[in-house]
Amino acid sequence: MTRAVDLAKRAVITTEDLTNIPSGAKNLIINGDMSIWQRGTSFSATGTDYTADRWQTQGQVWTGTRSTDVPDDFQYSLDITSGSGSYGSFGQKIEAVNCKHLVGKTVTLSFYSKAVSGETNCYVLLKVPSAEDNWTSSSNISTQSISDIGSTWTKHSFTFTNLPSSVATGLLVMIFHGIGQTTQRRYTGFQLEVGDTATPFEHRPYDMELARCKRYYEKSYPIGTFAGSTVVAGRRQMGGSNVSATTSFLSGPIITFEVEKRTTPTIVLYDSAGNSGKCVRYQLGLGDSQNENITALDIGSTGLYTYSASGASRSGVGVHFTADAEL
Amino acid sequence: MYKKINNLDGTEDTTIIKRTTDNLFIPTVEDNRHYQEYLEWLAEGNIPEEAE
Repeated sequence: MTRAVDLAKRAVITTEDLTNIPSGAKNLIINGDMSIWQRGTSFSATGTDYTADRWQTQGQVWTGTRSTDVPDDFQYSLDITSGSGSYGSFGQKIEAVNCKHLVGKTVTLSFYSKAVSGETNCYVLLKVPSAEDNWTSSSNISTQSISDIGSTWTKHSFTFTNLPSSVATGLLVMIFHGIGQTTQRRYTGFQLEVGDTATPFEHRPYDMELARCKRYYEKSYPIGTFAGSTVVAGRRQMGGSNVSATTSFLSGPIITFEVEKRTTPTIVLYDSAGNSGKCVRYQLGLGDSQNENITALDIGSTGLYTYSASGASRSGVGVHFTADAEL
Repeated sequence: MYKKINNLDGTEDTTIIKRTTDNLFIPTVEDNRHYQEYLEWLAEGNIPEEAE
């Protein structure tokens, strides 16, 4: 409102003024400010895996953690460390339906970064998949680089002109630092926008950013509690009254997602003791029997059905879930 | 590593495959990344376990 009042007092409104009015939609990157961490806050692996929501590492041996070392106006950054002799890279895949309008366009990527130790070079790659939203293989469409990313928080920007028609099948924005020493970097404030200018980072409300992330990954656990935790809160349940207990078939909960998924998601089910592929058979007065069998059926982009074929004599089924529709 | 699952009527469910190493229920849709990995695994000559 303050900005609107400021603009109203001025005789001339510039193009820059209009560009900087928050719309919530100019940034093609989701979770560019690293504010959403549904899977955890510390990761260590080889190859590819998701860290902060929507951000997938593409490197060899690496660790990824949430850091509070940030530039002004940000809460978190992604700390990526690649091992000696390993390349470190990570990126975000943008689904095809959000790339159709980019053909022939100029886009600008901007982000804040800080080199903590190791290599100083940085490459920014744009890649496209071999088929629409199918990333089993991909190809580069453009690469830019800088030789020294800087040891203090610095905003960098890269402009890419005349994107090819293949960008309509999807786009990977990838950050790469070269093979050599053990290298530690921190990144936040990613923004990809149409045009040749890096405008100020647009801070979307937390609930808006979380909902956008849930199109790709959703869990039944509360914020800050991760899959496989020993917790009841958020567990989906069916039945559980003190009649009709059975050791055989029990219908489980029909799970409806809070946000419809990009595509039919992969499901993992958990009991409330942290066991994956399991459920709780429960009943009023008898309590929970953990580590019971569970099966998912009828998975769709909006939800699924579950059942427990056999187990302890109870009348209800409880289960946690994750739904993964990432690219 | 992968196992077929059955519908409630005992017939094979062709819409889901289970990855037993980490208990993933994977839908058989082409733009699911885990299904894409399963297709690569099949192409290498591997065969999933039958449902119980």
